[in-house]
Amino acid sequence: MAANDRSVSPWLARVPERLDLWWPPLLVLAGIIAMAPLYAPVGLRPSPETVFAVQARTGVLEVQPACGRSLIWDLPAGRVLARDCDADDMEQCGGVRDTVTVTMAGGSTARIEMRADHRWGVTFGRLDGPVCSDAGDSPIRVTADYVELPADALGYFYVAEPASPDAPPPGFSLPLAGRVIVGQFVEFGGGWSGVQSATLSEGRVFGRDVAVGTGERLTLLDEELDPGSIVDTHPRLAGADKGGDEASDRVASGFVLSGPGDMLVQLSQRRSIAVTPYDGVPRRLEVPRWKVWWSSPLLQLVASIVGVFGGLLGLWIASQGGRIAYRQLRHPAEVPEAANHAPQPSTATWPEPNAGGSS
Amino acid sequence: MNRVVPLVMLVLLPAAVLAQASFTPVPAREYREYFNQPNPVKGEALVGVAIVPDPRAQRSNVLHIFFGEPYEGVLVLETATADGSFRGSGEFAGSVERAGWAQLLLGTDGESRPADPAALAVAARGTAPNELRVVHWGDEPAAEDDLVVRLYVNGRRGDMSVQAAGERFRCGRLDGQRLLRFDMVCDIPWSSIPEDGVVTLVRRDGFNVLPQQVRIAR
Repeated sequence: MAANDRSVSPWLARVPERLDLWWPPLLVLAGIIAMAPLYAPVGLRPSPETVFAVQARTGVLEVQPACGRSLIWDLPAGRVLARDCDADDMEQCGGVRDTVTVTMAGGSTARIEMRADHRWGVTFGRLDGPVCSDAGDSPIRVTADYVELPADALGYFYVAEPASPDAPPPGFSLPLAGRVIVGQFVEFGGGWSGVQSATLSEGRVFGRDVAVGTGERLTLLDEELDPGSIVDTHPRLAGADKGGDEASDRVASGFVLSGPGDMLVQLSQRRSIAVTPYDGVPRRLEVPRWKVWWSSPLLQLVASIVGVFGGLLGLWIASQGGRIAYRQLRHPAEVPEAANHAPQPSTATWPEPNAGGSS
Repeated sequence: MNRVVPLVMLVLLPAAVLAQASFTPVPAREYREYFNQPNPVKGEALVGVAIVPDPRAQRSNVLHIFFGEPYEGVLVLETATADGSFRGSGEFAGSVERAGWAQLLLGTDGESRPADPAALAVAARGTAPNELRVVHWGDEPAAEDDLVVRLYVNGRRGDMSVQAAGERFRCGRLDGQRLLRFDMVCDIPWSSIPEDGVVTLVRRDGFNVLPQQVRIAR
């Protein structure tokens, strides 16, 4: 009849019926969305298993041993100087030694730098303030030619001495442990002739984590370091304060090898590091957990399977809904349960012309 | 009479202060402050000289410059942080007729100034080349002999000391990595600055010793 044609759309009228078919997947989707506030903070937090590897060529490097740990360096023959020595004749403050061994405790610092005379120099000093309770009065001890040098208020300076004036300076390979800073800023000139600032010349930072389920190592971050950048294994101390907690006992480890014109550095640090580009601000590098999850081959496989089956299920449900709707439209009497949900004839019908005759 | 004296003092005191502020900004070169702007590269070992300040005074817009003798001309004032993220500069013209402290009004909002007694340097240069004048942040200080003068020095990571009047004063290194403009502060008593103001900065880097003479007007 024309009255049914003007009633509410049959498709809209069957929406509740279709929801009956769709409610299981909709319920799952709603549950996932409702739980998002619960797992999002976890997923956004940095992965504690991330290991950052730094490979760099640099002309300068600084290491600060962690509290409670000591770092021992065996250095080749060179000149050793007490930095607080006040003698006019510098030779009175130190001289050439065949063997030099330096023991550094927490609260000390050592800066290796290529100098203007193309020789390697190491400046040993102490950090300001009470850095470590176990540092004692002298966190740096130097043994030269098997004799321990007197303690110095400032520290010591060492420069490698070539075997002959024409020979290249002796090389070295030194272990690194604690806080390590690779590179430095180039300061403004001060009118000091012959003073130069060595910098980081090139390098890369890799962030690697262990894949969930399979245990394979994934490279989740690969960043190139611009010349003049600074890498600091302790972001909070570097001033990169963006979020993240940082245990004070975190220790970076690695080694440094001397080369013909610079040093090759290999470092390893967990959880986070800081990179400061030239003329930039320190930036904390981290890998969030969601990225680790997302990159896991096992989870990718599971997600793919779920996606495929979910898609197939959705298609099946859609097809079922279509079949039922088709049967309801064509053969309403054959679908008695559906008839219960069938729309009742609307009472809001238009008066038919001439219905009931004229009054 | 007892009521008149305070009133007269109230009128005369500001007048006296205004009389001391004998330096006025040079038009179009007034003192301005800049944040995170490219710095003009300067090669200078002595970046600033000031009486050891306190942070509150460093946010003040009042400075006092010491003159040991009458002076007339332009005074160039520069402020800078050690990391180079902040700087200020401006010129003032005027004169002083007798030795003492002359007031300078910066004319800027000092609340945003990164006050730090160790990391905010101020330099006042007169017409004489390579000569810095001693600056005091805030009100005029009392007796000079009790003051400690702080030198802000760009030692380029060397071990720095100051030799003044036969004495040696060791400098202290600032904290932080980003030390572009200066990295050391050297405190010396006012009384240790010689009459001619010439002191020697000594930079030691291992076995290399480099001296550099600077002049502090007093």
